[in-house]
Amino acid sequence: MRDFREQNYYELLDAKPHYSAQELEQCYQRVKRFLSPDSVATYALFQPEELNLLRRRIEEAFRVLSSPERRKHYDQEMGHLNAQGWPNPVGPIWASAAQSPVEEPLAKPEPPKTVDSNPLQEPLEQVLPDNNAQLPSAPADSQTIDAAPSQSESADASAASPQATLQDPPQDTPAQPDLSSAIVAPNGTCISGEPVKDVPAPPSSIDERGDAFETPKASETLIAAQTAPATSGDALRPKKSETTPVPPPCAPNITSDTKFSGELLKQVRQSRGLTLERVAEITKINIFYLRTIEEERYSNLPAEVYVRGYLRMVCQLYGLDTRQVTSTYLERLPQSKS
Amino acid sequence: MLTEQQTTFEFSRLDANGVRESAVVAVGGGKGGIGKTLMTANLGICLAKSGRKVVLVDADLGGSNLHTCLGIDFPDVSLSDFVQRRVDRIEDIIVDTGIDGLGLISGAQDFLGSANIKYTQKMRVLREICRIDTDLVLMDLGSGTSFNVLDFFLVSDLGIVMIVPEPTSLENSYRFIKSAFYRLLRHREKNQSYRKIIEEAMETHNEKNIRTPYDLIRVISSLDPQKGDQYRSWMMAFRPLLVINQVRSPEDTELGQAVRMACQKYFGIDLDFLGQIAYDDSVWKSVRRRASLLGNGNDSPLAPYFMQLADAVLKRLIELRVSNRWNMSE
Repeated sequence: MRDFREQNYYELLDAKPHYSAQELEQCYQRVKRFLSPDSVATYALFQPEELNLLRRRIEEAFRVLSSPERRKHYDQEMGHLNAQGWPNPVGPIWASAAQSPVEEPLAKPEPPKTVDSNPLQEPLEQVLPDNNAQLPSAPADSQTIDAAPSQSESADASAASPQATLQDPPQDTPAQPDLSSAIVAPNGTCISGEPVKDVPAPPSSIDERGDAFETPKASETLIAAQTAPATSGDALRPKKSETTPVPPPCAPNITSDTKFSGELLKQVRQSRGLTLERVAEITKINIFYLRTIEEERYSNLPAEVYVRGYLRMVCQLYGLDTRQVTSTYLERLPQSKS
Repeated sequence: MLTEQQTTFEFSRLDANGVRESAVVAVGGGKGGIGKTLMTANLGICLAKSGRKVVLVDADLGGSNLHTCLGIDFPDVSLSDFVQRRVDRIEDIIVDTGIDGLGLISGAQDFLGSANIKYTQKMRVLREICRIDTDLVLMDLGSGTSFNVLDFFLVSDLGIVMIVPEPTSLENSYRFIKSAFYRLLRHREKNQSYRKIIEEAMETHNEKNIRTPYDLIRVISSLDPQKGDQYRSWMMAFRPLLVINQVRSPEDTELGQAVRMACQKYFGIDLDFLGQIAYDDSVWKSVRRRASLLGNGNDSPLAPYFMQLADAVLKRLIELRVSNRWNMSE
């Protein structure tokens, strides 16, 4: 399980991609309450600046996911939805809905639930693009993972309520979601079933919209092409006319003397036809830090050892000289950071 | 309470030599005096009354109290007799508790210095505990984060971390969880260079500024991505069970979920919230009387809590199916 620096927006809110807007709101309020500075749970764990960073990330996550338009685009870029707005059958929606029941607080008794023997799989780890064969693949240590205890959190929390003087805890966590609600209608309504109004058409270029995320064109089709199952029905298969790849911009001219800036790294990334979200998905680096590196917002960067590691992984993905990139980029950092 | 599946499930396994191994559950948590011994004793009583054969082990070396919480007199034999080889088999130190199906390996009358047993003695004790011919072994660990406490915790199939809703308890338990995980990595990592990094991470102030287990994994991943993935898989499998004791207020009832969330987001470690026990005066009264809460003829308002916990423990053991120990040397 990733820590808060690398969790995606759903993980930050302790939610799942198929949750309704109301359920997301409940998750948001719950996370804020549990992780408040006054909570005894955070005592002796988070430093004040770490807790501030976490709470900012939680606010950012809710800002995106509470907007139907932004959420839909975020889901598409994360691989939760294909280009037509259908849930990706092999993506996190189905995996998480089927294998990870929601954890509920100790409350009134419920009948024993079937224990799912399949441990929670991190679906994004299974997605590796074909054009990154040089990257070491994440070894699926199936023995260890398969033998891990099942994550039937709802089973442990739904035991018989003891006859005690305490009241039942508040029902502020979402109930186990109905899988049928995860099905999206062909007209493109979003996951919760609510119609998406006034969805703007994707921009014609790959340039950033200046918003919290980009709208991919080429990479969107890569995701659709790579993750659409061969046996899926025609309705789920993206139409050929909608997946014609848009050629990426030309790669910048790089020599052995090139000094790398954040802007140059961004140009290289775009020339490879990659969005930040896709890079985050492949490298497991938090998109916040990837964007920070490209935008050279040094105050938001972690310690240098991490930046080096991130640059190394990005160089492997882009096919750049690691030593050249790390040395020239880190030279740009202010003295207090390096 | 127990389903038919649970009452007929055979927890016991056989090792390569055909020796029966029991399922082992350890109760730790870091802070002393929060009710670990009491919970171990009464959880054992519940499990025995459900029809399982249970052996309690007082592994609080140098601080044994399990016999007191069970309401029995000083046993004639103890763990020290086995450690110092006055008896040959560990079964020779299992004493009767007066409750059907429940035995006790006591630490009472241990020799002074029993808390500092040698490494070879400790490994012998751990090996033989896992080979006791019974269904369940329930170990009461001491407080703190000494290597002995951590190793007893790590050898178990299920490790329970107990906390109470107080900042001091949280502080100790977080330290315990982090220490246990680092200890596990250190046992498993054979490469000296990486071992050194793990040992560096155990220092609060280290050059690499590693503050959390996930920070460590990031550093390892930057050096060797495949090894980083290996560490991640170990982290995913490392799921201590969490129990909140002495719950008094509605806010306390949410603490289990809050601690689980905080631990996940900060450490990257996903605790498994097992359940909670309310605060009740019957607890301190029973200790004063040197009687168990749920023993023969005794009744307590906390009985449903212990039954719920026993049920949850059995469910977890069924899910494990086979020995899935956090094996110290894979």
